[in-house]
Amino acid sequence: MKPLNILIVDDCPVMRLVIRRTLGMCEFEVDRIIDAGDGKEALEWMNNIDFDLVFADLNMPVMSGSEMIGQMRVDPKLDKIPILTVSAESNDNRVDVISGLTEAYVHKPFSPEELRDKILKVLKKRAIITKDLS
Amino acid sequence: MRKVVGVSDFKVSKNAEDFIITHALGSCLGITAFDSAAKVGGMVHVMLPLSKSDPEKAQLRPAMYVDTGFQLLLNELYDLGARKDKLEIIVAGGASMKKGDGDDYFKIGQRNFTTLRKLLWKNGFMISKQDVGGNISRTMTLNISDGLVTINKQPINVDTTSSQTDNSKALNNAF
Amino acid sequence: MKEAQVNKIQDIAINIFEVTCYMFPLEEWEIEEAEDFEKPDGSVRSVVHFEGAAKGGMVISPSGHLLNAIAANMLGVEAASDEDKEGALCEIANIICGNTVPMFAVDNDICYIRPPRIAKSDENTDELFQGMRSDKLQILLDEGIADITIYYS
Repeated sequence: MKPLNILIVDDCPVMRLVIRRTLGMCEFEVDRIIDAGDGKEALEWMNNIDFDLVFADLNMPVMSGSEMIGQMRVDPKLDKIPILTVSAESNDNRVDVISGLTEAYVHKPFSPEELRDKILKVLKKRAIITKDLS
Repeated sequence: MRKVVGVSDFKVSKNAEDFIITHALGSCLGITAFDSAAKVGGMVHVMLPLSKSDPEKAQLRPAMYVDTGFQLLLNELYDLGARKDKLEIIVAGGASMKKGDGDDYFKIGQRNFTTLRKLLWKNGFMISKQDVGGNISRTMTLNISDGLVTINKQPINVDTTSSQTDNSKALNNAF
Repeated sequence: MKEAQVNKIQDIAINIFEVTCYMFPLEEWEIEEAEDFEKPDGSVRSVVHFEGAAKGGMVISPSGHLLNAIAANMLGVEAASDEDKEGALCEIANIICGNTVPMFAVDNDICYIRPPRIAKSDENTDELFQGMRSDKLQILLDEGIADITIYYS
C-alpha cells in the first residue's frame, strides 16, 4: 500500500489538529496531510495533489463544504476521491443529501474511535487498504 | 495458570499458559492491554475515576483509580517488554448502577469511562474494542497465548457466582 | 422555552463536552464543595448565529479554567495557546449550536449556522439579538462551569 495523501478541510484549526492526531494513531502510512480552511482553498490544493481521502466540514466561510463537495462531484478529475464529511449538521434531510454525495458522514461530537472506524471503512470500501488495521 | 484480578487489582503476564480473569465489573472498568509481538498482556480492575480524590489511598492501592491504575498497568507491561505502539487496549464495564426508576446519582461508570478516554487520548492510545455502559455486570478474560479477550454479560443484580455456570442466557463477546 | 427543551439543550451540551473534551457533569453540591470553582466572567465568549428555518444564536461563556481545559483536552496536551483556546471554544459553540438548532426549526427545514467568532471583551452580545427571546443555562463540569445563552425568534 502506498502512503496516503490526505486533505483536511475545516475552518477550525483545532478540529484539523484533532483529525490529524486521530490519523496519527491509525496504523496506515501517510505521505502528506494538508490543511485547508475553506472549500476554495481545498479545491486549489486538489488541483496540485492527488488525494486519497478528503475530510470535509460543511459550515465554513468563503466556500462551504456542500459547495466544495458539489464541485468535486461534477469534476471528472476529482469525482472519485473518497470524501468523509465531519460536521455538526443535524438536519436529517441535509445529512441525507450530503451522505448521498460522500463516502461517510461523521457527526460531531465524535470519539476518536468513531472517526477511526469510519476512516478504515471508507479506505477498505475503496480498496485503498485491504487488511484489518486499527 | 488462572490469575484472578480482584477489585482495585491488576495482573500482568508473559506466560502463554496464563489466563487472566476479573469478575463482576459493574460501574468499575476492566482494562486489558496486550502486545501481540512480545506476547505480553495484563488487566486492571479500577473502581473510581481520579486518584486526586484520595491521594493517600491511591498511593497504597493505585489500581483503585482509573488514572493511577492504567499507568500502573502500562509500567508493568513495559517492564515485561511490551511496546507502546504495539499495545491493543480493550475496555469493559462502566455500567450504570441505576436500579429500577432510581437515578444513578454519581454516574461513576460513566465518569470512569470518560476519565479513561481522556487519559488514552492524551497518551496517544485508542481503544481497539469496547463493551461499556448499560445496566449489566461483566466478566472479562484475557488469554496471554493469543490476546483473545472475552466479555461475559449478566444482569446487574444476578449473583455472579451462579452466573458462571449459566452462560446460556448470557450475551458474549470475543475480541 | 419550556423547561423540557432547556433541559434537552443542557443534555446535548453536556454530552458534547463529555465526548469532545473528556469532561463529566457534576452535581450542584459537588461544585459548592469545591472551593476552587470559579464562575464564568465573560472575558472570553463565543458567539454563533443561525438563520434559515429559524433565526437566533448562542453565546457560550466558560470559566477560565474550563476554557483552558476545553482546548488542552481536545488537543490532548497539557496547556494550549490562547489561539487554540479561542478556536476550541468556537468549535464547541459550533457543535452545540449544530446539534440544537433542529429544535427551533419548523417542519424539519434547514437552519444554517454561521461560523462562530470570539466576542470583543466589551461587546454587549445581548444587543446582537435584540427583540429575540432568550434562555440561559449553566453547565457544571468537573473542569469548570459554562454559561450558555440561547436566543431565538
